[in-house]
Amino acid sequence: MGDYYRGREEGRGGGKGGGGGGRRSQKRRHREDDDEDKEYRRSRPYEREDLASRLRRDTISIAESPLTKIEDTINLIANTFASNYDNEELRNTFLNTLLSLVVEQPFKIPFLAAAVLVINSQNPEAGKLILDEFGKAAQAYLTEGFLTSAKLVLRFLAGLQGMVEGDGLYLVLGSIVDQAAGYLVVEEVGLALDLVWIALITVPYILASPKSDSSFASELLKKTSSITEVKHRMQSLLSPFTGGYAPYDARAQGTHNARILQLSLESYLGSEPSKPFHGVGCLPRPYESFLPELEGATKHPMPEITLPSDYPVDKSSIMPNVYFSVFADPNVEVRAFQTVPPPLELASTLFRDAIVDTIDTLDCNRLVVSRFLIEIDCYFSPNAFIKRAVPFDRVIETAGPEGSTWKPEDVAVDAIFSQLYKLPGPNHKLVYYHSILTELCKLAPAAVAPSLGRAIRFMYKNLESMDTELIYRFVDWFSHHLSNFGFTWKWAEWNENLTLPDVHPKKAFILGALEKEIRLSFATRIKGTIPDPYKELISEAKEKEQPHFKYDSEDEPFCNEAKEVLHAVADKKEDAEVDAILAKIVELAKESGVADPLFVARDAYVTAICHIGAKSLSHVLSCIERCKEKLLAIGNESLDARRQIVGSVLSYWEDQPGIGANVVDKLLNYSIVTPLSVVEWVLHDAGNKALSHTHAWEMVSTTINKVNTRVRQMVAARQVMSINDYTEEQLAVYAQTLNAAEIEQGVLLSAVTDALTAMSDSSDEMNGGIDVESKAWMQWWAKGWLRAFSRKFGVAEGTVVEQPVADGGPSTRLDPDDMDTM
Amino acid sequence: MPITTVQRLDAPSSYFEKRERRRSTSPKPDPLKDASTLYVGNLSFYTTEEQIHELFSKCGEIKRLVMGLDRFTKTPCGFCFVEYYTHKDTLDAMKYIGGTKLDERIIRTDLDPGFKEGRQYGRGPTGGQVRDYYRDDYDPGRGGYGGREQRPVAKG
Repeated sequence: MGDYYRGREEGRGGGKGGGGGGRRSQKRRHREDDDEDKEYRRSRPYEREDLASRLRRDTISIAESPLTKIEDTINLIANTFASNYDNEELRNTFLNTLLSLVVEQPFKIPFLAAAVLVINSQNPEAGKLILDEFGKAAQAYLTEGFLTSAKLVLRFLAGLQGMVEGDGLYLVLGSIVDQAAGYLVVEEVGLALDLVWIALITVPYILASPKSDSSFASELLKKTSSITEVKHRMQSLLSPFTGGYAPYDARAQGTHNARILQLSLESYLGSEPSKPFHGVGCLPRPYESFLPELEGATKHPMPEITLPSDYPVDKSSIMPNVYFSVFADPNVEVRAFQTVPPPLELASTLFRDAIVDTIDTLDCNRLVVSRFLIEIDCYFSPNAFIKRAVPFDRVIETAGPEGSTWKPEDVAVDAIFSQLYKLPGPNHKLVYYHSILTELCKLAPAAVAPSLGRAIRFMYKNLESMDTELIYRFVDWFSHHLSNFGFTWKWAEWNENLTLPDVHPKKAFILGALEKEIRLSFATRIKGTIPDPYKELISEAKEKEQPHFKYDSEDEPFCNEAKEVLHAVADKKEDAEVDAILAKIVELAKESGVADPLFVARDAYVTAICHIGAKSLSHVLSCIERCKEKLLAIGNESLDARRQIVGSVLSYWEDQPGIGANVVDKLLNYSIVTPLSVVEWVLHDAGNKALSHTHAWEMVSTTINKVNTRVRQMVAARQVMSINDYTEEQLAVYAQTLNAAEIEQGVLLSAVTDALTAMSDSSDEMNGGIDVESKAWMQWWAKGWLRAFSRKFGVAEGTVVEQPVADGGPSTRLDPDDMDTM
Repeated sequence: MPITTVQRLDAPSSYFEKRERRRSTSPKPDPLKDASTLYVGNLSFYTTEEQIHELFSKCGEIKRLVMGLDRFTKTPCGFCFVEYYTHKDTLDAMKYIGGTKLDERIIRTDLDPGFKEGRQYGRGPTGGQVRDYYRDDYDPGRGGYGGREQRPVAKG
């Protein structure tokens, strides 16, 4: 822990002063500053630090320790800076530290702003300098399109509103909103909502500052109201839940966060909050004990911030953030308390926003992020949270009638899941969010583990209405998480679901989770971690080290010839020799009246390669490499041949389909099979339970992502290809290749859409002999897949691909009527 | 924008720095600047390529995976190289997977300038990794006691 945690800074700032918390790296990690490092090891005690470095360290660690009174820290920082203002090195170090901290550690903004207010009261010149520097920073971030950083700098300026003349920041926010309205006119809904978000989320921080005039806020809200009513064209596909069941407040169902912020701000300004820590009251007010000093402090003109005429961001890729929570279940209202603020309570949005920015900005160190999240109660009003790790069933008695029931660990966990389940996808790889949850559990198991348990139960309970992609994300996270904690889970509580059909979402979840656990571990181990009734879900065949070669069985037609193929390929015989045996199989198959004689020969060949490579991925790869030419030739025969290669691989790896899927992915890279053949095999040949299998989802989504990514990259590359660097011929060839890729993408899209539409159709001819319930669930999966892949293609092409899902398909429950009831 | 107020988890360890310095004194271009290979350590001897692939592919498609082998027995000896297609995926694996568990062991990741033939073999006196020779604890996932401890037992 100490090795990683908030050790030395790197990059600019110059000093060797550490990060926050006074914990420092024990190990050397950077080779550039070697000499400095030696010196650091000799002179470890902080006393030898120069004043600037110490100020930097104190500033970075502001508010971290509940043992230090925040007033003391603010005093220390303000006094040091104000009285050493003439020391240029110290001045620059402090300014740079502030500028970095504000955009890197958003939790600390209100505390830093308070320190600057105090600095201004002691040394107005210093106050003005900081104000102007942040004005410049806001300008630069806006111009360059770094909207999150711009938002955070504006938040810092919001805290300084008390040392600014006139209306200050409200004017800037007003122009931002006007600009958003302009973007709406040209249908850039994503950017318009982002800009409104920036303006509105700044308002509570102004209201929490010493100069809390709300009349401008109300005016601003009037202007944003109609903007936030707009829905993005993809929005119905971005909702985490589908179907008719609302797991939380219907007004938050499928609603983007900008609308939720609008509604909760309106509600906050419209009526007195029921508890002092509700609404803006959840924000910290570290300046409070300094109010007498701040009273007469000098005010400065607001630095000029000119909004750029346009933002250099990829507007088509900006998707609205749709609300998601694992703890805002309305059913808990029966218990009369909630462990997180309800969706339309302003505190919910304020917590979420600060946490998500912290997570996304500091992905370079998940340990620091986890520490912040565990200590989240240090960064808000001292009354906003119940104390850490209070057991769920003791919340009421601990909170008392007036106290908060919001559990800090629930609020943190909820925010992480909001990212893990964000559609179309979060800012970082999913595994990043896995890793934060893992670290949280390691840091504070007693607090976090029960919270995660409740989150898991919520998602399990709502599997039937969850978006299909999210079900698979849930399986992936759950299995990965358990792999970090000895695979312990209270499986017994789901015992009654074991009798459900395998395609029921709950049963499919259990099967999928066990399958993924096995892939990270091995079958015998996993069998040892589950209760008896679950053990039969893991067949004995899964425990075998290698699958058996089906042609070893004398009952298998053409087994002798297939064994010859195996030996010939294993002994690296010439292709001619292999071809001769394959020809013999074709001949024999013809004689015995097999409909497709080539089929048998191909299967023998591909199965032989799988068996030779069964020992490991490297083995199968080297075997494929060796047999590449012949495999390519077989694949080139026809689409059916390619589909059959996929089938032979998956049939060989029947008991460990994850490995089979992996092998197919490698064959795809060799162009031995094509994206279409992989997708068609899953949707047509893999059996009617396929859509509930996690490996089937992975095969199709990985393949489609590859195709979409390729098109996207080619489109992006073409935009920067200049006529000066390439000949016309080269450009024409490129255009042709891109065109071919786009055609392939189009063919895939229609193949997926057609197959899934057919599968979701309730015609009776298909799936003969299957019970009614299973059949209904198969159609349910098909509809879910259709929705998910419409979204994937829609996003990839940047065009409207909202499939006609209205009849029987997923319906969004958020009606305009719902919105207006607020 | 580079983060300056906290330490990064995707910085390389001092391993290659030391090796590089021993060889020459003149400054060289950073061999890890665009590294797309990871060294992965503290694996169990029993962890398979498929398990490693399953975990590390969460950070991106894997181009190549080379298991570390005991140079005498040619069996896995607890480390491997994972090669990605991109530098970013490699850094992400450092940030999100290094220090988490695989096969119920905390694994260690380090940036690597790239696999070269020969590096897949353990360099310890008994064929495995050097650290397993000097280790004196009992680690069932890594062949029991360290190599140095085992020798007298084997002789006697």
